[in-house]
Amino acid sequence: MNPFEELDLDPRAGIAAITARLKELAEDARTDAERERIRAVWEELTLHPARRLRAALFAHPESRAELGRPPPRRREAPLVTGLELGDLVVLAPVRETLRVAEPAREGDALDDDPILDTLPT
Amino acid sequence: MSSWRSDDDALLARLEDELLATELFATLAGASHPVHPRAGGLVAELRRLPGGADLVARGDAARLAVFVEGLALDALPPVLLHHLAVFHGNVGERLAPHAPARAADAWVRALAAWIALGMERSYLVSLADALLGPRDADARIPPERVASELLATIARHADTTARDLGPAGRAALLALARVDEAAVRAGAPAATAARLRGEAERHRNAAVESALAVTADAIEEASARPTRQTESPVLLLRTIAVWGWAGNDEAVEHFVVEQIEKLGWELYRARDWDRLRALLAPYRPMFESLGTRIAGDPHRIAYAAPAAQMFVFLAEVERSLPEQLQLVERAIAICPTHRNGRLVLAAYLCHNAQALLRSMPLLGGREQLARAEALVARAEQLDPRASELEPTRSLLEAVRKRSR
Repeated sequence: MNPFEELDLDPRAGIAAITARLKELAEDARTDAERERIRAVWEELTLHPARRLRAALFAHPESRAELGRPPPRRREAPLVTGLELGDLVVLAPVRETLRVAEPAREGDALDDDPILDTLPT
Repeated sequence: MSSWRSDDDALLARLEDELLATELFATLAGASHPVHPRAGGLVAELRRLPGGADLVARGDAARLAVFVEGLALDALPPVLLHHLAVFHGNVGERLAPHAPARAADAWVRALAAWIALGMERSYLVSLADALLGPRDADARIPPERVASELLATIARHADTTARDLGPAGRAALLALARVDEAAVRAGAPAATAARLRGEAERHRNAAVESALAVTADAIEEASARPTRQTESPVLLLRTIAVWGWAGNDEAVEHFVVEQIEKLGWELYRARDWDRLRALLAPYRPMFESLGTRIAGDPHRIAYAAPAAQMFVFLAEVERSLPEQLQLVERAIAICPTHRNGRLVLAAYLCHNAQALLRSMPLLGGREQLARAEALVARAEQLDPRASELEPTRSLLEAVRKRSR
């Protein structure tokens, strides 16, 4: 297969552009065989001008319509969270609300819990 | 809400062109195969031709294929010629391993497009300028040589399959034999056609020689063995496949005639008619073909004698006299000075004259006598040393006396 078409290279690209593109492809290659093939193509296209010319001649030229401008990017829509104003009020700590000096510790009996003292019997 | 823009139209058309190029390739190559998206540029160029836009808009790849194959190349823009050259070349590559005749058709179209592009010159010169710049002048391919590059690519298929006689090689040899047709399609001058024909012939000859070398080497090896007389004819049978592979190439016919001459004389001298008959039978179409070539071209005189000998051999193993006469007459028609052919024909004419004289009625039969006299006269003219002449003359004289 034509190396320009096999690796989607621009047939009119110069040596520097070919090298840069093949370097990217080599970094993304998953197997040694792929890397070896990329290296072989690099040698073919950069070390031998006659072979590069020949390969470029036998690749389809670029004559498609220009890609044109991409569509304008849409403004980002507001993030919908479901929060209301009340959710933003800073609340007092629970301990203060319960007016408890010390919270119960692990191992304390339930009957000793001071919170229970505040509850109506 | 965003609106549909002209750029979106352009992008859509580009994507549709790429898709249609893939479908067009599948139609011409007989199977779907990914083509590079740049091939979409071919469809974009076809849109610009009269009638092209309608066909492309319909998206009917089959009709577009007919349109593409029927394009006259002389008025096409260079970039379209470039696309066609690459596209048909790729179709040929794809078809070559399984459909040699169609692959050859595609390669001939590709070759025509390259020839036309080479004649235009400026496009290829600009392309080389853009690719190589002012340096690497040695690397440049002159526009008129670009078609030769395709010939070399096609020829590689013939070289690589010369041993196993694969279909890709058959496709290549068929295409290389049709260079004139490509030159006519491209409107190339006679000198261009002659140069490319010469190159194609050299490629063809090299590939056919490689294919024949396999058989020649095997026969050479076998010649040292005591079994050579039975082994060599079997080894030679491969040349029938080579002949078919090479599109009935004349070089194969020469090779076969040369080999059969060696093997045939051994059997002829040994008067082993059955084995000589078996040796010759498979190659009769090759002998006929070579005989026709020589009869139609006086420049082939160098091959006339060996080809004539094949017909003499065929005559010698034939059992009916009329057939024998017909075959040896063919030999003399191919090579009028063939000594063995003239001698054998003189003998057959004598046999024929003797048969006529012996079947003559006691009274009358003047016409039959005249025919016998003419046969003897011709036999004397062909070869007065023919051993059958003397008894035939004696018989003729006896019949004349009886008829007086």
